[in-house]
Amino acid sequence: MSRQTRLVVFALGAAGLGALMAWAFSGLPEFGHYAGRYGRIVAQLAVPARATTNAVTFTNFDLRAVDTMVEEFIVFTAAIAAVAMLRHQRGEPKRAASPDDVLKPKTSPALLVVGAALAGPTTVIALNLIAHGAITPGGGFQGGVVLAATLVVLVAAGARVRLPADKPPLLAEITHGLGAAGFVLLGLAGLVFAGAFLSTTWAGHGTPATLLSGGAIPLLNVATGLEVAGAIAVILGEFLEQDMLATDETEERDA
Amino acid sequence: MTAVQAVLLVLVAVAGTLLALTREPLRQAIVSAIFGLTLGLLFFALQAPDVALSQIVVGGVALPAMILLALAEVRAREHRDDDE
Amino acid sequence: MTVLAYGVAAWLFLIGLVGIVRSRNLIGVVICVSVVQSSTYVLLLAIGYRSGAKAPIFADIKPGTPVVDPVVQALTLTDVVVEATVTAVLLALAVQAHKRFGTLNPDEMAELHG
Repeated sequence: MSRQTRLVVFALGAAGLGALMAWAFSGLPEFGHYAGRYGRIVAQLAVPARATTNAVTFTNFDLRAVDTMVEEFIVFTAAIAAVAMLRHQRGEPKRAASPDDVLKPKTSPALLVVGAALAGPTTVIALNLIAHGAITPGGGFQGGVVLAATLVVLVAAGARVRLPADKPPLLAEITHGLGAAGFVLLGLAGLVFAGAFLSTTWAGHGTPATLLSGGAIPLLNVATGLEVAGAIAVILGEFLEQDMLATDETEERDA
Repeated sequence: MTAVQAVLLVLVAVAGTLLALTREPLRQAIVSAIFGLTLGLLFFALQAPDVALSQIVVGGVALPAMILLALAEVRAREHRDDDE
Repeated sequence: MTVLAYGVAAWLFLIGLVGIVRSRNLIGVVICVSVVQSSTYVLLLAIGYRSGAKAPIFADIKPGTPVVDPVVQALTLTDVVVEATVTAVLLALAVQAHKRFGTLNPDEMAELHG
């Protein structure tokens, strides 16, 4: 159908959808008058049950841990899917491994200095976020993304990146796989030592608001952080390699 | 609802509208970073620091980086096809 | 007040859909999909909010003080990271489509059949 027809049909559909949403939202409780019971129960349970002061991490890695494992595997699969989709297709010129596998962008010295200065603190902040997941706002997901953001900062500032042909960078792959496998292994440890898959009580109780609290929750945080950082690093490496491929072909033609 | 939350909600709606109505993908990448950061501030005002942390890093760094890389690859390929 | 909070969520959803339908570039479509996803985050957090309550971190408040709902925050925070990676897969699809069809315009793409 033409573009005009599509827009008209969409306008009608959107009007209907808007009316339905207005009707549905009018049945929700007033903003600020939270009416559920589950949230109150979880907030009461967080400190006595597992000595975690961060109720959100307690929900994510203890009460709802199987759900988090599945979502983590969505991240895992998405990274693999991105690599698989951009892999070398039949009929495309194959890029042989050569010493020119290094991406050498030309950026100003000021940008290089800023990037180098920021890389260290960002990594430390990321590791801090991962380690303190059970105590203060933070956790595996946040820390993992900040760790991957360190890589973005480095590449944007002009670091030299070695990208092997048709494969994600080795360190990124190892971290990625280790994180995903680590989560499942910790779950199995819960099964072996405490009788339930992904139970966290086997690693001791600890005192609230210290690093060693919440049983196995800090370990699960580390596994998640590694996995998320590895996944985003793999995706970035794949996109950068595509970029190199496209510019390689442009330069070959100009030569 | 406090005034801060009301102002941030309106800002998020305005940023989202601008993002959806911008045409050029390069501009959309920049506006998406702004939208992500406004969303992060709104989450912070709604007493959700964990979510705000995630959103600020993802919406401000990871997502615009991926969009820009995809755009760069498309542009490089188009330049190559234009030269042929 | 209620209207503003839930209205912004509904507005983001609809304006994201408008962006998807009107867009002339596949990468723009992917960005508007992420706008639609953020409307769900706003809705979830608006449902879980309690007036006058604090963040669900008990490191500096006594256990027992009223806090906002931690369960919706747990749902939203994993969702934000998953959104980033799924957007990456969609961008990879867009790049691959550009390689195959030579254009990023969805209108032109529908006409090129093998």
